[in-house]
Amino acid sequence: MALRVFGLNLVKTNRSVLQNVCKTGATPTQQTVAPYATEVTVQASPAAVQKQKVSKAMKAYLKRANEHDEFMKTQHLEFQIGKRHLANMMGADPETFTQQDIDEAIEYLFPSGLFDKKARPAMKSPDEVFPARKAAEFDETGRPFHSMFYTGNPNFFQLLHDIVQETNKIHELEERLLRRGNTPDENQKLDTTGFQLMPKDQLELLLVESIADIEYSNFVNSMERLIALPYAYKSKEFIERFLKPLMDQSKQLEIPKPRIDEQGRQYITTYECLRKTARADVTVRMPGTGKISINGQDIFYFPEEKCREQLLFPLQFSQMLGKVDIEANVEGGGPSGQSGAIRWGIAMSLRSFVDQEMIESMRLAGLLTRDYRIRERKKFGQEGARRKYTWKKR
Amino acid sequence: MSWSKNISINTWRCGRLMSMYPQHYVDPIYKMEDQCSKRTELLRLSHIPIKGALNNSSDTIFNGEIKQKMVNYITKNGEGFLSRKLMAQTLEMIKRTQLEGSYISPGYNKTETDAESLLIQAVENCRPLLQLSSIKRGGVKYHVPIPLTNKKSYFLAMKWLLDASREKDRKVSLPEKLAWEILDAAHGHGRVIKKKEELSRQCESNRAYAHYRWS
Amino acid sequence: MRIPGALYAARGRAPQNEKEVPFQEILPLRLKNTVSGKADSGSDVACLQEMGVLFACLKDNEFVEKYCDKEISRFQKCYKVYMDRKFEAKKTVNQGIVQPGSNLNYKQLNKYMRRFPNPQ
Repeated sequence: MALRVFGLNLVKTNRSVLQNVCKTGATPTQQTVAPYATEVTVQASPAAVQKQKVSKAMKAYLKRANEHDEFMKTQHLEFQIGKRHLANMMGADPETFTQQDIDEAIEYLFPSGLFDKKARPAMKSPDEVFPARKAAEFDETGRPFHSMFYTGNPNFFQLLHDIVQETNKIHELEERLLRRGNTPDENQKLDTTGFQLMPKDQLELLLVESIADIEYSNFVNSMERLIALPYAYKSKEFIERFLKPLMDQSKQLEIPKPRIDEQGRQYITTYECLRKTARADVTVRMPGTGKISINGQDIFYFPEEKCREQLLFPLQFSQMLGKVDIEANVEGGGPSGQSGAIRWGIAMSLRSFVDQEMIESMRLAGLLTRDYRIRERKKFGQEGARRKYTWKKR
Repeated sequence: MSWSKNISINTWRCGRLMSMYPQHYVDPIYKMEDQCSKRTELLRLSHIPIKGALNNSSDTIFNGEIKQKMVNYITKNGEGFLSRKLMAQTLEMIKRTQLEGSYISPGYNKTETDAESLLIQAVENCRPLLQLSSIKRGGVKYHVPIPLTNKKSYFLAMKWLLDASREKDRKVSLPEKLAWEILDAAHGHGRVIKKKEELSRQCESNRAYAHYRWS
Repeated sequence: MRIPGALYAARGRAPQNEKEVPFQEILPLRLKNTVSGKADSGSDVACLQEMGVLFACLKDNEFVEKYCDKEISRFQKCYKVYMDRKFEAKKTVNQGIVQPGSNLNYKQLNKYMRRFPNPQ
């Protein structure tokens, strides 16, 4: 979003033009892509220049805006030069060098073993690197454009205002239709399962304002009230702007296709099954007779009943007991960790042999979640991880 | 709203997070029957991540809530495998005694022989209603009866059962004594039930101080 | 003629002369805009009546709980409702939401008083 005002233009603007802009911005009819951004693009001819008093705040703002403009201009220039250099180095055409090419080139030219992806070298457009700033919210005499300027968060409160307006509109509509004897259409009812209201950080980006937790909860509450109305589908467009689709958890991971071994059986191998400090590779073969081999031994590799029960949990849950063969190599950790690792491997591999509903069931039973709880470290000055030393005053 | 809960959990996190899972993770449902009975709620859960299944859980008849709690309370020094073995022995002992009794007595198919349901019955019978906590007011200690939460009362019942069975000769094994205590409690007599009655008697005699509590 | 002190003592002490001892405003003569939460722990007494009924029943039946099922369930239900309400109230207070009503928490009171402070 371009949220910058061309500062120089603004000075030359005469006041009436500015007021017009302000008015049109405030009317709800002019809600386009980003109605809450304070985009004030003013084009005024230099002929309309009048010597007017410029407030101190405006002066300071203009100075800052100018500096920022200059800075961004140089940054853009440097970016273009860098891009051309990179293109030349890679032997590509600088005109058609895209951002993806840049990323690949940087990864090739500056290989980095740093773990955190944010810490690796990167080259991005300055628009992405430097966040958008709010443009001036007042004219050159210091009079604010927005009626809610003095609330501190005009965009946020405008949003709340709009939500309430929308709610009132629907209330009125409901009353009118009720008098006519109409009832809301059940088929068109707004269904929000699988959607989430926009999280706080995203809303902040949209509004270019930082909002407090309690303000966000106010937003959530008023949106909920709006959505719960029987005629909420009438303002579907408005509501959907603040909804975010949620991913189905069980469909997030891709299910691997089983491969065929030399005996003509399907099989899946899951590597890196981890639990505590144990690590396992699990192969599941279908069809089988329920054979289990762990490090070359059978299920009595685990002397404890509890661990053996764990191995059988996913098989029994998905009713595949006796239909598949399992081979596992496991190392590290104790019996509990090892059996947990193999259990996870079996469950993950079984996904390829059962239907989608069963996968979802297995997920709900917690079989497909990697259990990444590990032993908590001991702290100094304490007896253990949480327990404190006995303390006696005297 | 279906998703509002999720959001509010996300945003209103207060205090320190002790779990390794983020707070919006949900506990798993192990039993297939439970999953089938909660169809409508599952639609909401399909978008929420689930915690990993614990390593003492399974979708079998051997997996009971109270039984598992009992196993955890028996455990000493992190020897979980041993305590599980002890629990199994206890249940076996209960089953044996009940079967024996049922064959000896004339109407023998009327006695309860399911060990786990006997255990549950015993724990339910031992649950106290109230607890005495001492509160100091003006230099004098008062014993004040306080209502208990469900969780706490279950804990006390199991603890009393265990305490009673740990008070024994060296020759008697824990499973043996625990089995006796459980059988006694399930039939509504024995030391633990007496202890509970004693506690309610004390609470009754101290009921004049009930309005003193503030904890 | 000097009047002996014993005569004064009968009438109590004479007031100070304001000219000799001028009034000093050491602390501002207005209430603070905050309250401390010290006395706000509140009483935790709930379900006293149910408890009394339960005790009476238990005493009548020699502490055999079998015969007091109704009283027990009523008592436990009452306590559960009380705990649930307490939990909800704590959640709203922690969120900093101020509801209308006279039963205000010290946090909520402070919030109100910050909005309507004493005049300076």
